[in-house]
Amino acid sequence: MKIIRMRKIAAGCLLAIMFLSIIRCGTVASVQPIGKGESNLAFSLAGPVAPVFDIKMPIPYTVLRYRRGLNENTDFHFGIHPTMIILGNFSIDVGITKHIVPQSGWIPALSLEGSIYGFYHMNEISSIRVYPEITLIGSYRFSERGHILYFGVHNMMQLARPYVVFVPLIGFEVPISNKIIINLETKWYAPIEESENRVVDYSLTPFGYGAIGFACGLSYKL
Amino acid sequence: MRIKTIIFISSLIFLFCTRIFSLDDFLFEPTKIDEYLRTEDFDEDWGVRFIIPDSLIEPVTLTSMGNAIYGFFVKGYPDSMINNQVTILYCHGNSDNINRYWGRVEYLWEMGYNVFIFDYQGYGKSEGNPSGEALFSDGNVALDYLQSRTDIDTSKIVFYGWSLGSYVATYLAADVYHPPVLVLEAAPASVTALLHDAGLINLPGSYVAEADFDNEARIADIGCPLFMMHGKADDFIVFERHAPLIWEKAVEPKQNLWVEQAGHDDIPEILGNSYNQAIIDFITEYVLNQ
Repeated sequence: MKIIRMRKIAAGCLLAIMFLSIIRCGTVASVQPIGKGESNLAFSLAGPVAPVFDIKMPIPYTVLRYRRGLNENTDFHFGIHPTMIILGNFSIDVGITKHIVPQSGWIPALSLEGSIYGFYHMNEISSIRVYPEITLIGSYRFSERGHILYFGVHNMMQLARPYVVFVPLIGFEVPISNKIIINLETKWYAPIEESENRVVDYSLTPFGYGAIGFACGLSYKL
Repeated sequence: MRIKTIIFISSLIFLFCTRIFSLDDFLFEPTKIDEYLRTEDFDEDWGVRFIIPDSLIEPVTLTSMGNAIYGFFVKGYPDSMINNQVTILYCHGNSDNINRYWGRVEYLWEMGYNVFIFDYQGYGKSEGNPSGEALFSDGNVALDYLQSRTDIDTSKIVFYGWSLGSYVATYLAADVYHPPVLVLEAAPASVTALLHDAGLINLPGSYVAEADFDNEARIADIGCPLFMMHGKADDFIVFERHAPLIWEKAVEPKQNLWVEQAGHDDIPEILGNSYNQAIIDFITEYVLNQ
């Protein structure tokens, strides 16, 4: 029915943005170590696909993240979320990535990331929210230049149902130059949660569950 | 490099503090029109029958936050037993404007009640733009108008809110004036509940909207009997994710009508005469028999 469709489009634009903010919609994965003392700055933009002004597109959620190599196998990162900031919400993430297994033959390199996402809406102490997240990434470097295929899953936790939100992903890392890397990812947000009859009419919902989204990131070596 | 960093961080702090962008506009779906109640503007799906004589329809212009808002006071059917005893303050839903809800006015008018329906700012001919503050202001103005009329019993003004209008009706009942009864149809629990429904995240609604839309928080303070209707097949304001949140917080006396086959828009159509009877029975018990 026309009226319901219009309502859902409008509400979807509004609410889908929040969906992205925590479950890693706007960030791309930390795939392989950047090396001790090295650092980079990454800007990423992403989200599940939903109708925005009648156009089906990923909701534009953005993250700016600084990453630094603490040693050869451990990276630290700190990110801020501009999309949330212009809405008057303070939003950051901070975490550590441990690269636990190097690539060996068919065995992919494995990395484990632990992050904390923090949110605060201005002038509202009760709005403070903190969400831990664990991410496991497997990756194959398959070219001398450093092209990498990777896959994995984000797991965001909260004190409400669903207590854990899974986000499987597959991505491709492309080095453009010695300083610039591009990441392209496809994510399946909340694949065990039914998509039907939600306020948001997500456009890509495999088997009626979750929502497909896309992410792209641009990293610049400092 | 350090100066650039300081400028960048300062800019972000400034943006954070000023909240330069709000998503409230996405909450509202008004349709502007030049004139009300023109038959060519009505959609067949709205179920309008044009059964109310023009002589009983009184156009009303009010001022809210400096903007003109428009409404219609519909006098109860002259032969009705309860004519002029009960007046329904009807707070309509999110889509379009008064035209969209005229069929609902007809249902209530058929029951024998006076009905006052008004367009929020930005809806229909009403000036301004919709917002949480504007809707609440419009509701206040509408209530003041009814209470100023000398030809109705101002102690028998029933608040009726459908969907988005439930926020206004509940706000009026809880924060402004306790009516004899409050009727809610397809009411969302809150923006927070919508957020959780959409994104599975337990963030407060204030993260996305400034509008203080929270039926769940206000319902315990309405100070009057509550009648709630909700379609169990509602695919927008899904029954399980909204109705119980309000219902459990509401205090007695309260009644509900959960309609198995009904969606968001069609409770009266699904129920038929039972819809009329349910409302009449409730109002008779808690308003007319008091």
